[in-house]
Amino acid sequence: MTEATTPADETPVLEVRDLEVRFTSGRSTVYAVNDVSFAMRAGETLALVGESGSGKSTIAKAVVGLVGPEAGEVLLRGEAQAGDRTARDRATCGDVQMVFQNPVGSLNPFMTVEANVAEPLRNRGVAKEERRMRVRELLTMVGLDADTLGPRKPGEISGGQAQRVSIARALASEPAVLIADEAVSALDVSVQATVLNVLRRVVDEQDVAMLFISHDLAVVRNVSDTVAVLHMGQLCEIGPTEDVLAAPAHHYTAALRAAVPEPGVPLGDPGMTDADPPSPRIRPAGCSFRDRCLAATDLCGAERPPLTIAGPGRGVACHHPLGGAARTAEPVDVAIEGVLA
Amino acid sequence: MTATATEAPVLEVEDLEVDFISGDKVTYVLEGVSLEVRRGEAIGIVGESGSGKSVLARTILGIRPRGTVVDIRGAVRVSGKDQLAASDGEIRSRAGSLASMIYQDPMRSLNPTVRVWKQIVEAVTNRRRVPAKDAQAHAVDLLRQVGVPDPEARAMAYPGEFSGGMLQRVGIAAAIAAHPDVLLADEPTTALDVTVQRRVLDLLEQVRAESGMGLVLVTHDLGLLADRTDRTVVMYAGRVMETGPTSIVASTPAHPYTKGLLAAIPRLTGPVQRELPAIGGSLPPLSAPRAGCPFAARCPVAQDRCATQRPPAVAVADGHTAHCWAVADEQEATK
Repeated sequence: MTEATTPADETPVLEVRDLEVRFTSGRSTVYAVNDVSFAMRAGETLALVGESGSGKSTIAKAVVGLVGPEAGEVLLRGEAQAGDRTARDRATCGDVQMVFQNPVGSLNPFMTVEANVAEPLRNRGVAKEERRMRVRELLTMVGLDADTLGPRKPGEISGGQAQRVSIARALASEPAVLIADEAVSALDVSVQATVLNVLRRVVDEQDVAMLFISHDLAVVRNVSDTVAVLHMGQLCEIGPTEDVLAAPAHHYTAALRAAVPEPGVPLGDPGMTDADPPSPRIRPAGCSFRDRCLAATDLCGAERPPLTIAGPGRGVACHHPLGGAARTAEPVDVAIEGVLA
Repeated sequence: MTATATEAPVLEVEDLEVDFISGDKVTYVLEGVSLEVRRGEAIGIVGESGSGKSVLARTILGIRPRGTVVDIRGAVRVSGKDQLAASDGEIRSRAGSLASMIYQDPMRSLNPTVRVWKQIVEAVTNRRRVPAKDAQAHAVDLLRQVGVPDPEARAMAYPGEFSGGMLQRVGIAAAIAAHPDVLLADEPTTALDVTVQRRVLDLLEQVRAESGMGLVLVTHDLGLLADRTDRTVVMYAGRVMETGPTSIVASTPAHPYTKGLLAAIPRLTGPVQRELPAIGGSLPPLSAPRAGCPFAARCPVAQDRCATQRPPAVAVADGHTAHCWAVADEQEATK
């Protein structure tokens, strides 16, 4: 992956390898991310899904450089990103940009929409006239009218519009990776659709790789090519979104899917026990889902299931995968092999 | 979900109008909302931000915002008792026994420094003297009823010692402690994980079935109401757009707004839509009374009169009503 001759579309833009993140305060340690690997190419969207505490936002922070990994590495265009690099350095170089959940709160309330979008350009030393043109372009790209909305302050526009301004601002740095952390969760359904459409168009047209973090499987199905399902910091399952959601190989994916209410669709079997997830303060032995899993055996408590091939481009970390997923004796050594196959 | 239609409604809201007045600024929050809930019936109120659904729930409870002058017209009766004319003292003494509420964030609606058993029975102990032992036993019973494991020990715990889902069960226990006639739940599962959400909604349904109280589930998520409520009320910009049996509203809605809302929801089943049908435009300003239909500017089938004339309530079928000129025309044509 290090040779510069590799064609751009083959090299993963972002690679996360064996990532481990812990938070320690006093004597207590939270094992937030445990040995997670995945890779993304330009023009692709990978969704991280899971409940609260699954580690999805922590992975995003590790990618941006806001938290340092305990082990493993984050590679950007094949280059390792040192864990001690400050967030400020990373932000200035602009390779990884983030869109947050609260659209109004993530913009500067005292600056106009135009100025908010222009700020990263100004930081990079883009000349005034070019900056003006670029801001117009960016606002148009996210479907906003630069003339009417440009001069307004974030407080004077709607939540959906503010989120589109955040996207325009993130794109101003021409990032290789766009991270959307619950970017549509705070929006109304009618507005959410507009923002999702914008995000998809941006990934297609700008050839950016999007890491889409969400708890909403229906949204994920609509926006992502690949989905990675996390439970308590462990990667349960990864693969093409449509395949994974149509026929989950991991019991946790199936349970998550069964819990999503849809208008006019009766709820299916919950497919899990009533147990709460285990404490993140205990270093996980075995599968983190075993207490909630209906198919768990002694093996699941004793041994952590390795990620194995579960179909074309699919990996599952389960001793007893669903649907008789094709198991091979050879564990997939990095999830990327499964994703890129 | 079985309603005995002969009984008088436990909750009646008639032509409710609520304005918030702050200085010379008036916000017209609710514009003529009417609804009814019968004993043992579950209804859902669905709306996006600015629809007025939370203000409606709070007005039913008798909660008035502090620091804002509120002008309320119309009528709200819970078990025949007028909630609008009641004094603050009366509202306080009725709190929890006539109508009670489950809030979105149990961590914020409970006091973190008070053991949960005391908070669970507050609605009871506020009104009459109860020996501490009895009150505690009642709290333990309630915790058992809402499915909190090891209720004797958990009753002594503080809110911070519970998970989000368990804490919402505590919130439900507190809400039903004084046997209310109407239980309001304002986005009770929005802050919870989807796997937990289901269990909390199952519990609400069980509690309603056991007690026979009326349940009002307020949410932004139309999907949540399916199987959970008998009827759905769709609100937009302070008005009721459509009312009908939940299964019908969720499958064959009559109002263009409900149709648009349903179409914009990403689905887990069926074909993936590369471009979701979004509803263009945004909510009309609430700083002026809405002339005509508030959805007119965003509506794909709007006519000239929609902007100026308030649409009538059109009966689409038995118990299914839509406030829409286009629906009125359709009904006229089929006559």
